[in-house]
Amino acid sequence: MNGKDHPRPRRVVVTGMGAVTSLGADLDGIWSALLDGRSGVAEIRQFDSRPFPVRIGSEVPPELAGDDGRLLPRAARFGLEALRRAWRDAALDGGAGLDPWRSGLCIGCSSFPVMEDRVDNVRGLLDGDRLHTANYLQEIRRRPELLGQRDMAAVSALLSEGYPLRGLSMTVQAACTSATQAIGESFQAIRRGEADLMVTGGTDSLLSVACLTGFTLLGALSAWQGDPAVASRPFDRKRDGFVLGEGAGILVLEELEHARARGAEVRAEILGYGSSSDGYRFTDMHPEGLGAARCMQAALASAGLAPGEIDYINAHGTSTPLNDRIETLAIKRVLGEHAYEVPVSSNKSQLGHLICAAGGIEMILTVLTLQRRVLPPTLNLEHPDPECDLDYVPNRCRPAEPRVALSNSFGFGGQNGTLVVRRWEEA
Amino acid sequence: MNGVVVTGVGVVSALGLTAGEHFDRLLRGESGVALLDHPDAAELPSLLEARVPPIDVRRTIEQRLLRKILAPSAVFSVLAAGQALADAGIPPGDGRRRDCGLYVGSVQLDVDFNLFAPVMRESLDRQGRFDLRLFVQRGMKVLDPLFMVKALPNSGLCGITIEHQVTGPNINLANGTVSGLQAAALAAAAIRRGDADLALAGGFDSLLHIECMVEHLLAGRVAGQSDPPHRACRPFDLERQGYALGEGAAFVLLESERHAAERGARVYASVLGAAHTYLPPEHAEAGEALPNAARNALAAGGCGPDEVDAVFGDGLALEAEDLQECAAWQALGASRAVFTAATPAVGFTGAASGSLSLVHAAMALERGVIPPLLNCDRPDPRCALPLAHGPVERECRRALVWNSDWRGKRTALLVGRG
Repeated sequence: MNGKDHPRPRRVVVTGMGAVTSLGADLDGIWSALLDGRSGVAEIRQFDSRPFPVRIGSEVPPELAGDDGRLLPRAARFGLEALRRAWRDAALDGGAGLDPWRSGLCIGCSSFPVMEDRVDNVRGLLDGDRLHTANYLQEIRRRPELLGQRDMAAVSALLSEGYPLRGLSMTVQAACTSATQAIGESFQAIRRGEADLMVTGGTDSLLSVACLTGFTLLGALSAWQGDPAVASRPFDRKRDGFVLGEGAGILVLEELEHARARGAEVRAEILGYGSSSDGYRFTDMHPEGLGAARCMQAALASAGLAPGEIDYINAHGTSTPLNDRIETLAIKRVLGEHAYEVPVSSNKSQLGHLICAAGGIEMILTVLTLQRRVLPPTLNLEHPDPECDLDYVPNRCRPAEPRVALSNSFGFGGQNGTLVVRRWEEA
Repeated sequence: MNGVVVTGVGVVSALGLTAGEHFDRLLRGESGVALLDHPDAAELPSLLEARVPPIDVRRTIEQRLLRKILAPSAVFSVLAAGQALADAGIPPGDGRRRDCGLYVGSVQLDVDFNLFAPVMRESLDRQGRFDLRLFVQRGMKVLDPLFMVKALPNSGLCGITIEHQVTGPNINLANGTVSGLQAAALAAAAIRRGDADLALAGGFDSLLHIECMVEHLLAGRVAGQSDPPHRACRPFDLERQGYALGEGAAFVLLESERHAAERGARVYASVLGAAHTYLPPEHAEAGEALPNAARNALAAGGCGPDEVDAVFGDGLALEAEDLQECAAWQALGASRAVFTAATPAVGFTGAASGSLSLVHAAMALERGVIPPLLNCDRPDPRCALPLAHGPVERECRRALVWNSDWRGKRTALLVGRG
């Protein structure tokens, strides 16, 4: 099957969405919080962050992070809850006559052993400056759940549990681009005819001692010391890093006729997907934004659209000095003069950076932007940056009639992904 | 529709640091399995390993910063990917690398446990308890600031883009064993739909570190000591006892048939179809997953089961897995197919294993010889498979590669020639 050569390419639509975020798990609630200009960023509560130079994060509220007794990692719990909500939103409860072999799941997520576990392991396991292996083996026999944490295949396997999803099953790990790439490959699998339905998106929680340490050592986080709610300030001249978030954003993608046959409500249509690499450095973007630009161009080509047909861009917009400047440059490179007419906003100003889940929640919010005809704001944009000179929908949401939108993700290591989505209008 | 062909291969394994050396030794029936030699493993029951020979990173990786960041297994991936490009005649500096796709399968990389030992020592209070304040004040200061970057599963992919300037469409799968073969299937689909004329695809992994050793040991999947060690892994044999822990990387360069023809590239094989399934092993219908993947891959390639000349499988020498491969072979009805697997020779190579089988299939089709499956001397009567006990010289037109993950993910890919 081939979209380009096929006389009538299969069309891919969004029929279900579910999320877990610092601003709640109810889509209407998250949406109105964003429009009201609320922020999910606050002092980290799940561990004592006081000794750390960075003490803030965008944390999922405790009532949504509850454990079902299975000792699952937070990211798994968020993913399960978001999937349950997306499945119900797609009216798939009861199975809806799916062919399970043609239904799959593709999820972006990361997995890092939490430092506290390492500590529990290491205490009493030291033999000089090395590990005492026999003691380690004993410890593992006592707590076997410490093993297998590096196996991210477990996440997609776990999420499928109890759902009729026996086709393509994948976990994607491409740092901050993971969920966008997962959605992109799911879109392609449906378009080429390999699947009729895909559950996709991302789930992540790197709000742990280990990862707060890791990102701090890399100097990637905002060191903002005032009100946490104003720390994430994409495209603002005083931006100084991203705010670590957590959560999940899961979508149900479906082939259009498949959705119609079961009477599903269509929320939006995915038109295209593009990816690229910078090939530059592990922790810096290409200084001219070439990789990001090529990725947006590839997405437009995949959608068969011209740059002038783009009405809105949901930015990667991390609030790091580098990303926001380079992303702006790349948008201008791709859209030319039209760039100045296209509103661009970053949900990370309110939700923080969900890392491997970012592209999932941001795709959901892009679909809501198209459906509800309101552009979510970029919060905390108070000091204009001459190098960030586009319309970022500063601080207040804005009514609009966007038909076609891009959603960008640019990852650590130089992996880029862009999705193209269109408002659903029954022809 | 664009046809997709394999025009380059690259391997880093216990059998060699080039695909040519690796495959020649595989054909000769050699094995890279030896007694495990690892400082952390001294107190474990004796295990076996299939270790990649030492690599002079300074001579093989040009960029200094990459040498500092890349974990050993990520280095394998950069080397194997570079080989595949060179083998296909796409040299460094060639402008076609820019739009070349890159599809990689990996897992979370090994962060050496011992890295954390000094950190924790600095962070314990007088009673020996972990103190977060001490950790931030002192422990963090002795921690490698790049520890997180080094463990990123996509660090191999990023290393390849930086070292080889391959910057087209890409994805990094961290999806267990099947990652490498799934990556190849996605790369082929990208070329077929016209997103790229060229795409590197493959997987890399290393199971030779303490957490992996302990995990596979406790799961009862690894072979114990055997004399000689290279006879230990015995798939489909009555005395099967598991596998040796392996490591390595395998990449193919995939190319649109038209592009390859225009530049007169050597073609190993065509990629004709692929399919994926998933059912957890404990599911009542789990046995259908592998044959379904295989059938769908054949259907996608327009190939009947009796046209298949060879199946390149896993051969893990575990009872359930061996029986499952036999059952799939029988359910498929691939009556002419010879079955082979490289695990006895190169160990279990995790996320690299499926792409390694794909390289074997491509080279076997090109050379007209199927590599042997070692060490099955007393076949389990329940495993009525036509095994390649030695190298089988046969003009192969269709070969099926399949790969399973212990969580129940399966991928099958059909390659052909002529």
